[in-house]
Amino acid sequence: MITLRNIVKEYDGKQDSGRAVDGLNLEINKGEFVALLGPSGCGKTTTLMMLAGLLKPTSGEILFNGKLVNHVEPKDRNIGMVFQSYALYPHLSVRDNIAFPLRERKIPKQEAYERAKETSKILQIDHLLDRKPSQLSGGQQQRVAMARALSKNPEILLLDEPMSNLDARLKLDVRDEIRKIQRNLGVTTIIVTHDQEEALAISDRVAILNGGQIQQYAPPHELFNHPVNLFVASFLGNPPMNLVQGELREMNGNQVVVTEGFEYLLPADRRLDKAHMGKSVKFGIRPHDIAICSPTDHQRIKMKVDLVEHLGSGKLVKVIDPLGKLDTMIRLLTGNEAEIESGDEVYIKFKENKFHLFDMNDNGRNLLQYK
Amino acid sequence: MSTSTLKKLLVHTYMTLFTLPIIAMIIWYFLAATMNFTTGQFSIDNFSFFTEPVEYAGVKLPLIWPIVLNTLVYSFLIVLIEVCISVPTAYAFSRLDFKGRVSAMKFLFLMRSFPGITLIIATFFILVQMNLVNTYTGVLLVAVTGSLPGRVYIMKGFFDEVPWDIEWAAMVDGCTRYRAFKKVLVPFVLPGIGAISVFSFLGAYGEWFLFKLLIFNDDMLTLAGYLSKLVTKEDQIMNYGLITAIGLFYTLPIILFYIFTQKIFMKVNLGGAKQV
Ligand SMILES: Nc1ncnc2c1ncn2[C@@H]1O[C@H](COP(=O)(O)OP(=O)(O)OP(=O)(O)O)[C@@H](O)[C@H]1O
Ligand SMILES: [Mg+2]
Repeated sequence: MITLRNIVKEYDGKQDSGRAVDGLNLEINKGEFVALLGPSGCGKTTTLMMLAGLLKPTSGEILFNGKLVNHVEPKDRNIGMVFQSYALYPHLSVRDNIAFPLRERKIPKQEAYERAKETSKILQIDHLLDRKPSQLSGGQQQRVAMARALSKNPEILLLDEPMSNLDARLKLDVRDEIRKIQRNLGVTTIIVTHDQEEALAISDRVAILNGGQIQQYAPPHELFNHPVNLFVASFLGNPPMNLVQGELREMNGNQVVVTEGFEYLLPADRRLDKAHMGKSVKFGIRPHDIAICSPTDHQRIKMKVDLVEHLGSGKLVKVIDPLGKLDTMIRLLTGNEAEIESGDEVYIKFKENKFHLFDMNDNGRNLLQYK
Repeated sequence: MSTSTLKKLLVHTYMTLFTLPIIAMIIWYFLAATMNFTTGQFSIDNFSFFTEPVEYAGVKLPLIWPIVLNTLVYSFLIVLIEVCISVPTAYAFSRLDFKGRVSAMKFLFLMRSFPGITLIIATFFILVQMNLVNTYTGVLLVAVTGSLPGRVYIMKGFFDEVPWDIEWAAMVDGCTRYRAFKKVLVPFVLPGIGAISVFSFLGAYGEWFLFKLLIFNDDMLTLAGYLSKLVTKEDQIMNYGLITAIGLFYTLPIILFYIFTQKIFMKVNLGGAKQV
């Protein structure tokens, strides 16, 4: 088990401009596959490097299985790491690259080579053992890097954007394969990525980082369906969540979100604390949680179709307020069968209990906890 | 005649015209060494320096073979010292964060561009004070001091090219910082080490000035110094035949070295540029 407690990292001479990692707390169970996901510069690589021991945290504690490892050298941490650039040793053959960590542990050459061969079979590169890294394709190099990280049976596997240099198709294959190997070996794995689809597809839990802090740490579906704040909600999802500025009000005993374009009545089972009334909020709903409805439906909103995009699997419809009062465009997803064209007037409605309310005075905290 | 053959012809003529004087000089060089100009006949008299000490018109120099040995020992020693010092130093400048790194580097750059010859009088006095005049230690000290900044500078460039990831990977894979340097970084910068070795060797092989200045015993000379002794005695007739013969003997190893290593060096360069 890995525990990060209040980790802070300041790069030298960077104190004034803030912290690369700022009070990070994280628990990773044995055998778990965890992704660190976030925008560029949010501190993902820095966190991974501290786990590897290549960087020392400015303050805070890193524990492996309950033992403090802050001052343990990288070579003594029993970790395997795959770098974004793969960082293969160019002067060594593939065989020697994979056997390198074993040879550094004083394992006899013969045995090291045998184990290198076994590992290379798992990754299907045993026919490349005699080549030099420069004679391999990008995908093959990536496999060699994986094999080198795994050959020593590490307790922890660290992957820094391992797939960002592969083409889209290969990415999918490699992703599945990494997941399969990880399951079979049961090695605790931490992957750094800024590809959200990859993170959600591959990991047990995802930690969303922003500004050196964890925004939310949860399984993929929970992040997607129950974002704790505006950042997570808007960062995840493609097409992105619709966000409309509004205000919470009490009207005739009902709680209502009032926006420029529409008023939305909160269902009875979603009533909020009275203290929230009058607050400025963002009303959020995902495109696939909006439906086109009949002109008689409850809580319908009249909209005008601005644009229809064909996605193959369905249609992405962008609608605007026909009166022009609401300045936000709303995106929704429909099936291919929906006959809809730009210029049409339609009624839309929000699927029940799929909306979110983000408190704009509290860093966009989600006021609704669906649980 | 097509335009391309015409072009070729022009280029070839042009190049031949320009290399002609050089070729003529080389031919004269060989002839001067192997011909007796008074009789106009082929002779190997000039090569008698192989078997007996050189002596003419009052110049007396020791037999050449101990000098050859001096040259080899001196040159390889210089290579060894310069490589052993400049590689770790360059690594430190490139990879480590220590106090005064930037100012030390600025100083290094200054030293590299400083005409060392202007310091030679001071150097001489310092060596006298240290009792190092007329010793190899003195020559080595001055020679290495002069050339190290340049070597370090070149090597630093090579280390700067090595991605950090490679070094980190080695450390995760079980290396200490020093072992990562030895097992991964040094192989990575091998072309650079090769390059500075060659520069060092050629520099040492051609060093005559320091020997002329700091060494007073003729049997301690190296080939370059030996040659310079032949050329620069005043008030005497030069024995051109002898000088060219010894000169030929002096240049031959370098020419052979170039012929044999140029292919390897081309390869090394390509291999170095192609990074994984
Ligand atoms: N060596 C360094 N010196 C100073 N600041 C650094 C250094 N490395 C990173 N930083 C800063 O620390 C912050 C976090 O960087 P980090 O590399 O961890 O981001 P990241 O999440 O990996 O981003 P990316 O997705 O672009 O790789 C950034 O603001 C970056 O500018
Ligand atoms: Mg990064």
